[in-house]
Amino acid sequence: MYRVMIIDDEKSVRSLIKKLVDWEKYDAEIVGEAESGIEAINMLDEIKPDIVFVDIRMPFMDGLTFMKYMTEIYSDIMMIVVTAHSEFDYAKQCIQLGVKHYLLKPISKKEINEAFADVISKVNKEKVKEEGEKVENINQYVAYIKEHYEKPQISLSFMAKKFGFNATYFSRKFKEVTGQSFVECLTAYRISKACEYAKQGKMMYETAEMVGIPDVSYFSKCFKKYMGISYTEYVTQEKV
Amino acid sequence: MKKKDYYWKRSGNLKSQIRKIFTIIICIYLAIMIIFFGIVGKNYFYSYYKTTNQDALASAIVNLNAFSDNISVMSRMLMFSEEATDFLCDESYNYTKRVDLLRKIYNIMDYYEQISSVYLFKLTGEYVNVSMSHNTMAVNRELFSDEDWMQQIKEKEGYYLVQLDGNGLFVPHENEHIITYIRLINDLDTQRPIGMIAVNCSTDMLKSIVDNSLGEHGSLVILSEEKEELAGESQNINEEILEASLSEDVRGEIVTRISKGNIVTTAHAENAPFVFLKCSELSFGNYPKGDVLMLVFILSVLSLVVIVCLNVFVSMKIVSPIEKLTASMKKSKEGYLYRVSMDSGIDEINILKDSYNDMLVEINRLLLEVVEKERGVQQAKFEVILEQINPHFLYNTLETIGYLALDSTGEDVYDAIVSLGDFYRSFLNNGDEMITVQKEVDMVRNYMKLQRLRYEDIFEEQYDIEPSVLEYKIPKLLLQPLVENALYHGIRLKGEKGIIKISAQREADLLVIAVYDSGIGMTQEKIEEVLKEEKEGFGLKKTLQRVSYLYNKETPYRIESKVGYYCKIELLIPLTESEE
Repeated sequence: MYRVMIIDDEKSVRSLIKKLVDWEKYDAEIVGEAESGIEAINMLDEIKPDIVFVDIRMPFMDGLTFMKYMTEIYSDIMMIVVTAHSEFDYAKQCIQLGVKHYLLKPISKKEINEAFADVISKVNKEKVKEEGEKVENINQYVAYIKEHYEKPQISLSFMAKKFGFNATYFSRKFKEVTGQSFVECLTAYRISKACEYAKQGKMMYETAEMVGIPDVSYFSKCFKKYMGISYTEYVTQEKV
Repeated sequence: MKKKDYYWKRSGNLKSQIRKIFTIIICIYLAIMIIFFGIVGKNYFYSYYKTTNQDALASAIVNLNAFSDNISVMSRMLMFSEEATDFLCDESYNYTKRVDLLRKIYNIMDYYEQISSVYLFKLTGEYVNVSMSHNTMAVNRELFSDEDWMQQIKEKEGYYLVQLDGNGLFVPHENEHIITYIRLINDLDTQRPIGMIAVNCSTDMLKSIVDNSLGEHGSLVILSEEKEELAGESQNINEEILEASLSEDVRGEIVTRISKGNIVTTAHAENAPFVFLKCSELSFGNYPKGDVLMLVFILSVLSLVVIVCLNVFVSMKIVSPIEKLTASMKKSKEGYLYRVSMDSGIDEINILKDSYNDMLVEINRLLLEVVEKERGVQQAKFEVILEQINPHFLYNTLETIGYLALDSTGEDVYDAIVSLGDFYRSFLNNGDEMITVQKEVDMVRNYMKLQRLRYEDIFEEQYDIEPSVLEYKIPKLLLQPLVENALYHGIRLKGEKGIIKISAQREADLLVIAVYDSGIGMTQEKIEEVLKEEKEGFGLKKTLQRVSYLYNKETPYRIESKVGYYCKIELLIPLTESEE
């Protein structure tokens, strides 16, 4: 099974892509959708896609920046860009990042299927061997999270790459020690910080940026997931 | 007449006009010189000739008087001699005595070469005579009985009387006149007249006077009272001059007149029946020395040289630089605005040149500015068109409609397509730059409808349009870029559902169009940055620019914002009745 992720700020576009491609034929499935680069970064480690569809113009973090972060960590993820912009500069940057296909909107069914077929044939199914040093003191990485939570590019793979671990191993080890996954730990800490800001009466978009989730709508989703109520409701509640 | 004058002033270039003026000046100058020297010269010549004429006549008269005195002395010597007295008084006159008398007369006459004959008369008319010429003249003795004739002589009381031909006493040969000095001889004892003596001279005597007194020029003649020429040459003395000159003269006075271009001086001898006449022609050719003429000539030449030098100076120093300047300036007619480079050496012309150059620089600068500005206008228009015709919105919308078609009912698709069609119809607006407020608002309504399809329910729209402004015309696409900004840079970044409010009101003679959004707002720095830089995708500055170009003046606008809460942008569009 090939794992596919779609990153576009427009829901309709994501839905359209889902409808246009004959996933079954290619033995593929959609494992995640993200509305921005920020959201995608936080999801990557969990869903581990083989192929991503990326829009270039998105709020908070555009497609190019996202792909730059992504390729630093996951160099073997295939990228297909879907955009309404045909500017040469974009195309050039995409080539440098190793984008396989550059599709222009409106999307033609034939084109997207051909591109997908081509990309499928190039996916390297052999997983990189698990290697790397032994993780000694997990707590120091928790401390690292607490220190650098405001950086939006922090993720499991980012940490693994940075400290020279195998990502899967690091992830398992992290869960063993702390009882929660790296992403859960990071997000939980960010949300707890967000609550502090909320108590100070900060606007949501300000808080979101300060805790390292500059995509407000993704922040909003995360906050609701962890706290059970929306940020605005939380602020009102705290005021009373 | 005026037109002609104007034409004259216009015609010809500077050089030929200066030449013309200089030629006229030279002509006038020479004319004045000639007239001046004519008047001065004439007066000068007149007094000069007058003086020389008078001197000549005075000298002639003195000569004549001296001669007369000589005759007088001679006749006295003779008449008081014993021989003469004997002849006149002695009754017993004989041949011997007669010979003695004749010898005496001869002896005396020898001293006076001009004397041609001497006659000694008794009152009876009897006479003796000695003549130098062989032909003795006939004597008209009848005159001795003529009382009138005798009276003339008696009146002189022994002093001599000068007469021509003895007033008829003598009959000279063939038109030759003689001059007779005649006087009474009185008896020494009784003082009674006893006879007369007549001394005759030929006119050669007068000729010698003329020769002595003539001077350097003109002619001198001695005339009888009957205007008969006695001596001297009279080339240019004609009847008319004589008539004019001899009319009313008083004896003894010297009178000068101008007659027919001649200076004529006349004098009547006091004791003789002669008229002296000196005539000089009044002409420059006759001018005695010619140095005045030379002076005139030298002055004229000098003046000419000065004027020509002036002309050359003016040509070289003024006309030539001006011609260069004009030649250079003419080039700019052909469209080349080049600066003039030359040094005339004359301050004023250099100033002229510098001013012209400065002017050219200024004009070139202004031209560039105009070109720049025009280019800016075109660029702004072009960019707006590019920006708006930018098909991303269309593509993205089509994408959305495509999804709708696959996912939902046909009605949604139909609505979306109608909205898109309406939006583009207003957007194109038949190519007109101006659009009614109504249409512009409708277009934005369609735009927001389509955007809501793409981004789900992230904003709510509100409208506050004064119905009276709906039919006013405004530049198209004012609202859409502002709404786009509100959505992408305001609402979406806030992550909460927001409000976009469109309003249009009349404020005095301005139409105030506002777009309000409850997005994240803008800090003052951000506003400045947005207005200064042409930030991609941010339509405010371009919209302001475009409206400014359209109305040819700065478009007033107001931006009001609270960070984290809202942003409101107002455009103040001038309203004129004709736009309705």
